[in-house]
Amino acid sequence: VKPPPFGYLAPTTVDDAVAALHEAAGTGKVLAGGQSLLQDLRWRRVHPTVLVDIGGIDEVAGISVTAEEVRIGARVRHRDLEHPEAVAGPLGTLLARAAAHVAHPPVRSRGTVVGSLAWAHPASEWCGIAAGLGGRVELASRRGRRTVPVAEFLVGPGRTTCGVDELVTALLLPRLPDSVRVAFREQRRTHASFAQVAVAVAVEKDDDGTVTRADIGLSGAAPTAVRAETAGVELCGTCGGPDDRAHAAAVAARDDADPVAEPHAGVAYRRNLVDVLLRRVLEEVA
Amino acid sequence: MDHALQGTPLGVTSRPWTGRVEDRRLLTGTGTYVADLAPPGCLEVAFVRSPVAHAVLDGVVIDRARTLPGVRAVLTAADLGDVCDVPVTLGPTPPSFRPLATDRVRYRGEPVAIVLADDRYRADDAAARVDLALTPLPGIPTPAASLEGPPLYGDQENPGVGNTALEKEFGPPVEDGTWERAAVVVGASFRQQLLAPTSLEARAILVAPQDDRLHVWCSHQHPHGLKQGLAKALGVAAADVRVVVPDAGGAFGAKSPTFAEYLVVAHAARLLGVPVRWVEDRTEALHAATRGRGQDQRIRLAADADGKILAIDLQVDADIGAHPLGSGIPLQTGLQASGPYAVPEVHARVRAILTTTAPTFAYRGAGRPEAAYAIERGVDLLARELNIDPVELRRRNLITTFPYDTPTGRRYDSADHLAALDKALELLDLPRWRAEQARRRDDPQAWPLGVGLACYVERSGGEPGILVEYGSVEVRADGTVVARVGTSSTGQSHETVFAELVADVLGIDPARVRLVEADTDEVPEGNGSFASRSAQMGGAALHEAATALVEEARARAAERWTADLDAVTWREGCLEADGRAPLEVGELAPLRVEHRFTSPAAFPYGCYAAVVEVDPELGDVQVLRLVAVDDYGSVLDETVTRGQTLGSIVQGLGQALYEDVPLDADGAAVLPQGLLDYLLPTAAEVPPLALAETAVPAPDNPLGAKGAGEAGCIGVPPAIANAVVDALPGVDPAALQLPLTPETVWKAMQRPRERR
Repeated sequence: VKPPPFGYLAPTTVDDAVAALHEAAGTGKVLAGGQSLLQDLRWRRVHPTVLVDIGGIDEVAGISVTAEEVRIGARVRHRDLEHPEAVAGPLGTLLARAAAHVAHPPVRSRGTVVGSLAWAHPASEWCGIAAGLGGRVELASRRGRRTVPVAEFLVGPGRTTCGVDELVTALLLPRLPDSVRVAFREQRRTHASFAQVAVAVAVEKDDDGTVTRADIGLSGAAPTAVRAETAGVELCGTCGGPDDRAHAAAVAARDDADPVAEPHAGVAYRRNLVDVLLRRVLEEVA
Repeated sequence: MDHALQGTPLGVTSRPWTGRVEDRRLLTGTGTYVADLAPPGCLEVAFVRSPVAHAVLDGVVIDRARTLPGVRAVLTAADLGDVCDVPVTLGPTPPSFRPLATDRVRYRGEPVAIVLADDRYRADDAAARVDLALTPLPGIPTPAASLEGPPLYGDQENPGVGNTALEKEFGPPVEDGTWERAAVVVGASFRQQLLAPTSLEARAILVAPQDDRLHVWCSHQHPHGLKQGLAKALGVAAADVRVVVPDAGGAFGAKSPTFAEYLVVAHAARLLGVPVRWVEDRTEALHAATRGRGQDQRIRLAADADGKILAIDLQVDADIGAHPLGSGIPLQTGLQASGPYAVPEVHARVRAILTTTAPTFAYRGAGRPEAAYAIERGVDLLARELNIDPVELRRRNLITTFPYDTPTGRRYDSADHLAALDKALELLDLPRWRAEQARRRDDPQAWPLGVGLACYVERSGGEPGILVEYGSVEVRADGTVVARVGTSSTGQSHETVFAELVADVLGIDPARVRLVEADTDEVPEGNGSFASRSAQMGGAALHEAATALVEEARARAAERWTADLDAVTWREGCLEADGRAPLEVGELAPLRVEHRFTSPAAFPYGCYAAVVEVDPELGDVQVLRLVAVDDYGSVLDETVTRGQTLGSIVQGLGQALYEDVPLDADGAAVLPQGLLDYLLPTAAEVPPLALAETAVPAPDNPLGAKGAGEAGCIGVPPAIANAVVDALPGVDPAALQLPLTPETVWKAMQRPRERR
């Protein structure tokens, strides 16, 4: 790694961190796990004057739970979610299923969940889950604190609505009742490569077997991770039978996906991946 | 994972495996690579490289770079003085090129300037501040585009030179009547994708001018070649250049030329009078280092109704990139055009074609994997067309008598192809898989399964000109033995195997033998390590030298004792004769015997088999079983050759399923995330394997040894591709091209085979 010259600060409070970002006036970068930042430094795609290392800020450490939400602090690493018990209920199961697909173990022990949101890679597993479940992102700056729905936070590949003076302090995900069934699948070319497409679902049925909730998150299916809203609507109100599932999957591939072509993952193939993977995960939770 | 490493111990060495001599050093992080060598005052290098595939270079402005603190010099083509053009190792010389671009850049990554600074960080900082004035030109990304396009080395520079750097035919053209009277003729086009060799250590060189000599440390396969190349290009006496190869982290064929960067580094060191070091980074290695493969192939095969192959015609248009460093590599494909089969008429035409991509050079297998792939897929097409079992078709055509002269000019030394085929089938348990395949074909829910075979023959030792190797064995007064050899390990266990080889001849403990290689001051001559030549050529040279040393020692003892030579015996490093006190050989020091071993090339061969299943909706190919039976002649060290087989198998898997250098419309690689885009297989991708060897001794070699090391790269891709074709009978085989990524396979399945 041969980064361009940069300064380095290690604040211990969010207030100090956002003050540093404010001071840097758009030329600061936040260092958490370094999974993406170090790559971009190595390729000299970014030239920050200062790195603000948040590794010593206790306010952004750990996972906490409220009545409605699970708050994943900015220091929580991918590996912290590898075990389903890390978060209670089906959400923990879903997060653990996804964690196993994030990079490989050494990277999982450094990279952070919130870092994945902040870097907004379209194929990010966490972005897909956060979008699908309708999560929120918590931001802090000298101007104050705010939360933004993930759908409004992710705006394109590597692009978010995070201000240059803002720090993403946490990801907030809705808690899932035990009656929700979850599944996750991913297509990638080797065990450690990026997802070509990943699909996460959380489905709930009422006592009559009617689907009442169908949260579907797609990674790698569009310029940014998205919630498959149309497919979810199509699935709700049905009994989630094979034809319903196939229909929802086809709708997601056609209407919710907006794939970008890459080598070995063209638009048509990516749509196919959405279709097949979604059909398979829906079958898992049927 | 089921690594059933079945096979019979074949080694001449019977001692138990105790690990390699080099392991302690290499596994504890105490090896010494070029990047570990930093003499005082050493300057670090960053190259300024073309960011585009093709452009007119209107100017290079270094002012903003030169003034940065810590920057000692920035040199461009204008500063190269009398440095000659880059030596072209293989193939004819024109068109030649300068070590740094002058008025045109022809590939993304072509070096344009060199920055020398106190450390690499400052060098990179400065390199980013060298301003290139570029006027873009349309790229010529493929051989097909190049044949139609404007000359890459046209206009004032080298008028009249077309884009075909080399064209050569092998064997007489197949008679028209042969195609006409054949029961079946099949034809197909195959693409050999570009691969990035990607050794753990990329290129690295350190040049220190001292005492009117150039001291060079380089991660290199051919130190004597580098010494000659540098001396010639810089206009200095070869005796004034010393090349040492310290520990090296792999090469795979991509580290034997005298690269442009090496000339520039050496020139800069001489100019500034200080040590200069360049350590290539991973991004440079992916974009600017040489690549392997890169061929567009068209093969036709004719056979009679019994499946006897009558003729093969192979046309190869090889992408050799913008600099014709490796024009000679694809000739290997032409020479090998009939593989292991007895075919009366064989013709190949090979064209090496310039494109605006990084140069193509040798990569593990270097022309033979390409040939084996075209032939083996072609043979399967014939089998399908004739409705003959692919195993049976191969049986009917494999060469059974040796030596065998092919129409393309090869003389195969020895083989028992049927034995290798039988061994592979035995390890595979073919009937079981055929039964499973039939079961699945009757079950619409089951994923399709296929079995693929590949018989191959390759060539080891090299071509005329390098079919000679130097070895010497010297006994010192303390009884230790120094063995010198002209090969150059980049990870092939020479320290272990060659010391044992010499020790076995002398009947002494291997710990008494020290190997010296890859130092041109210590070893007077050598042809290095590539073409699987080390054991076969260097091992034989050491064997002959050690054998001669025993004779020389006996003669000297006989002379000292005024005894009959016949009365003097050698036993475990001692000379004995009746009535004499045993004489330690060390007492005869100085005692040194040299040998230059020469022989024809050898032809390792074998048979690979793969079983795959395909996810019909996603296109994923899962390898369920991979069988490799290789014949390396007599094996010197079973564990070491197994390592070579395993490593080459994994690289073969890479070509079959994962690796590819995608190019944009101009020929620049599309790998924005480096090795996250160029996917190398890892341990997690290795399927269940079964390995075995047969061992027909090489007739032209005192050890019976043939080369080992490239086999898996040759056998794996066609075996897997044939298995995928076999799994998908309704799919057009022509749509199944390497690498067989899920998208490629899925797309092929969307376009069912057109029935004629």
